[in-house]
Amino acid sequence: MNDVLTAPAQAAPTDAEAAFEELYRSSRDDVFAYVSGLLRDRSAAEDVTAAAFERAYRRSSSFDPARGSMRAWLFGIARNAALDELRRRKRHVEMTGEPVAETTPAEEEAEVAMRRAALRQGMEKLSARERELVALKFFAGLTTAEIASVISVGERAAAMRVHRTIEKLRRACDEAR
Amino acid sequence: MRLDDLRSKGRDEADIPAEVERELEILDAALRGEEVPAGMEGIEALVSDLRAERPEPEPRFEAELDAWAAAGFPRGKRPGARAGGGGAGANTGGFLSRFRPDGPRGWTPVAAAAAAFVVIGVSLSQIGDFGGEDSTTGGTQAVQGEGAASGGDAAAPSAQETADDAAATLEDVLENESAKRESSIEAGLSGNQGSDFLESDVRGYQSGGALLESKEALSRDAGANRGQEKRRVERDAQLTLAAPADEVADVNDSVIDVVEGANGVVLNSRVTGTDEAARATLEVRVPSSTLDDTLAALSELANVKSRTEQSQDITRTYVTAKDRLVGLRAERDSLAARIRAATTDAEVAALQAQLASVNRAIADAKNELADVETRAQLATVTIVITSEGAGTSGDDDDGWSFGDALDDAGKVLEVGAGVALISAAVLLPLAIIAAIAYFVVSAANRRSRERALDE
Repeated sequence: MNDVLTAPAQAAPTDAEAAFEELYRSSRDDVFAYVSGLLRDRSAAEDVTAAAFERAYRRSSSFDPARGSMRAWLFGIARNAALDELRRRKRHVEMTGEPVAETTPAEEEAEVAMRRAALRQGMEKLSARERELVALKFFAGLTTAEIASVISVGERAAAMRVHRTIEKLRRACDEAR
Repeated sequence: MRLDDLRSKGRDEADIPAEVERELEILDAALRGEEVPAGMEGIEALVSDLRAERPEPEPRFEAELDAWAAAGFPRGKRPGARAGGGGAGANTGGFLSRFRPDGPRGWTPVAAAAAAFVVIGVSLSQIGDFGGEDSTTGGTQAVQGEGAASGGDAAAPSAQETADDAAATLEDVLENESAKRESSIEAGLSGNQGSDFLESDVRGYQSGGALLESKEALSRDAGANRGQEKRRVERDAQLTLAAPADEVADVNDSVIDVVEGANGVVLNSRVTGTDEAARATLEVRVPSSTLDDTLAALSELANVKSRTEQSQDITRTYVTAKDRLVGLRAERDSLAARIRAATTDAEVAALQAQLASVNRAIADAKNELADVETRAQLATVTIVITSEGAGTSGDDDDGWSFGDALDDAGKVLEVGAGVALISAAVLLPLAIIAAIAYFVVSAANRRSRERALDE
């Protein structure tokens, strides 16, 4: 990660390049986590993550700070790429999704193991939109304002949606136990 | 934003219960790793479990992505489990996606290319229009008809010219015979000669009865064919040439040579000025049939500053003059017959006075007819030769001045503004259509993406 976006023979990076490099450093794993949580397919998530960063890099001049943070802008691009992937799946062959984090450490306590199994079952009961909110909030760590920007709704609306989704997930987990 | 989103947004933003806000604050605190209030351990556990479920990229993918990013995200080398397989997540456009610009700004080069294409097309069309103009500098040509009979074929031979020529030949023969008789009658009647001479002349006149009948027949034919008279077209031209001041006189001489070589005549010629500024004016007449060739030859002598030609159909004038002459001749013949039949000297004297008056009118009519014929046969050309840069507004090669530069700059701006206006007229509707299409496609694409989440 030390030489990201800076080839050895090139001059010092511009402010924009430095900003994008910082964005890449801080968001790489978060973007993958969000996309993977939305698609539930690690292979597709890798492709979409790479495509999202490529798109963002080529459109970096189109970023407008007045419309939100650079991180929200990046996740908006990643979201579009992920939704394109979902559309492609519907048009073509249904992908067989890989289970996410199927393994549980052997030393994990029984209580924790049971709780997380219930969580996975609860996640299965969420809709795609709700899973997306979970991924944005808990996997990518976006703030409510950033989530609102990514899914193009108001901040308070985003907060209510997140709240409802969490409530639904908690109920689903309780039912699964 | 979709309508559903707006409805949902309105519903969501109506009221947020205080406990919901508090719960979200606790959630954010848990995400930040901070302690949560007592009784909220459930949220803390949920956050912990969800964070634990967070998918992490494999080290292999991390390394590939970092290397690709360090290289500046080169096209065609995208990392990923399915990279290059045509099914990459974001590359949903397939083959066409290679030609799809990234985002609205990505269309800028395409729009610029389209605009340049239109501007170049408009410019070329304007250049084409310019090129279609007469290459003669300042050249103009006007054709005027005389009356309703004047047509666009005034300068071109009509289909009836052959028949008209034959009639004209017969008319010429009759006119020659008639002229001889007129001379005899005028000589006999105007002088103080005896009645013998008169009688002999009258007899001679009688011997020409067959000719008179033929002439009457011709007159009738002329009346019948009045609408088919051979076209008579009067042409004239003005030519302005520019030459160095010390060559104006030489060009003047050359003009005279050209005119004389074309069987023309120089009516007047005047050269004035010095070696610094000179001017020559000539008025010449050349056969109308050779006017174009003569003007072409004159144009070779110096720079042509302007050239103007006019044509006027004078067929009606000619026909009127000829009819008048025919009528006068018939009147004269009638008087001659009456003189022959007169029985008293007083009657003869009165008729002779009338005959003299008619003869004068015939002479005038003949002159008028000859004048019209001359106008049709000879074109008048006015030639002005000026020293270059003196009294001309052309763009001389040697006399290009600041004023000329301003004129040229004005013309360039005028043409540029015209091209810009036409281009805008073409591009504006296209831009509006493109903008509408872009927003429609974007909205449809957004709805389609959102539907992907509706399982």
